[in-house]
Amino acid sequence: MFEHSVYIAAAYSVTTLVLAWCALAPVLRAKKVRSQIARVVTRTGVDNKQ
Amino acid sequence: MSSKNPLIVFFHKLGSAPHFYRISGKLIPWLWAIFVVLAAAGTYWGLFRAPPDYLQGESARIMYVHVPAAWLSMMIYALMAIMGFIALVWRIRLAEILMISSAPIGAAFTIIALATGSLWGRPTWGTYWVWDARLTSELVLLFLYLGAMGLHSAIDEPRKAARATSLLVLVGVINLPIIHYSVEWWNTLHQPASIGVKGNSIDPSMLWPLLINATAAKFYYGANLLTRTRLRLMEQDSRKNWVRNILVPNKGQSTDGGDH
Repeated sequence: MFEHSVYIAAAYSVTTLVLAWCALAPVLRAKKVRSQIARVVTRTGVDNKQ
Repeated sequence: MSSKNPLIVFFHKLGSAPHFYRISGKLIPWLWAIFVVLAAAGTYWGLFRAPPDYLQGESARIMYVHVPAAWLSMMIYALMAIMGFIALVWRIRLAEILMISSAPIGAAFTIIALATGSLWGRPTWGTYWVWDARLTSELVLLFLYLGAMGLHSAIDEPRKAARATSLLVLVGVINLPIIHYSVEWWNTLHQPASIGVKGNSIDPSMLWPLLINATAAKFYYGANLLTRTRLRLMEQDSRKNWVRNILVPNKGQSTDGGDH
């Protein structure tokens, strides 16, 4: 084990968690948005381009 | 003439939402793959192959995540300011979306820089936090990111929101030289830069993992930025045919609908 390994482990864990959250958040949101848009298009089937 | 220049044609096409969506969709997996390879190599090298620092000991290994995060936190803000300027002057919608999509990523890197710096400070300085000029100006950068995100989400109309946010981001640029030169202008606890244009005072065995992780962080930013930009484009254009064609191909009509 390293000297000060607790601080080193904490630093790498914080980095991994923040980066993972920041990368996953838009993917999960895109999934939700895609299904919402697809539901509206399937239901209405209207071409209402703006 | 100039419009036939392939480079100009490429950038002109890139400004079109459907074209950007298609190109970025192909790029994203490659950017993630390069990030994973580089981050794995840099982290392994930094944790297990690089020697401990002669003064700071093993805790200097935190530097391999702290320094790239701090660099990216400033670089992303500078890029946001450039995109904000383009958005204000030329009213390019893609620049507006790229700018606001960068803010959460910049905020994430600022949080990492502050948190890892704090975890490095405890064994090195004996405290998690001091109101040092470098630390305080980096904290102000986090508030600027949060302020930009808050302002953008407070205005319903996306293009008005982008213009207001661009102005805020441009005003906040003043903080970047303050962060960079804080260790020279004031007597700070934070050490001066070890790497600069005039050379560096860091051994190659420690420099390489640092540079690899810094490069990995840039690929992370690229992949994440494109993912977030695609999401915002899809949300803003949800009633346009190009989005509908992608999501429900048989219901869409034409493939046009992108704007600049």
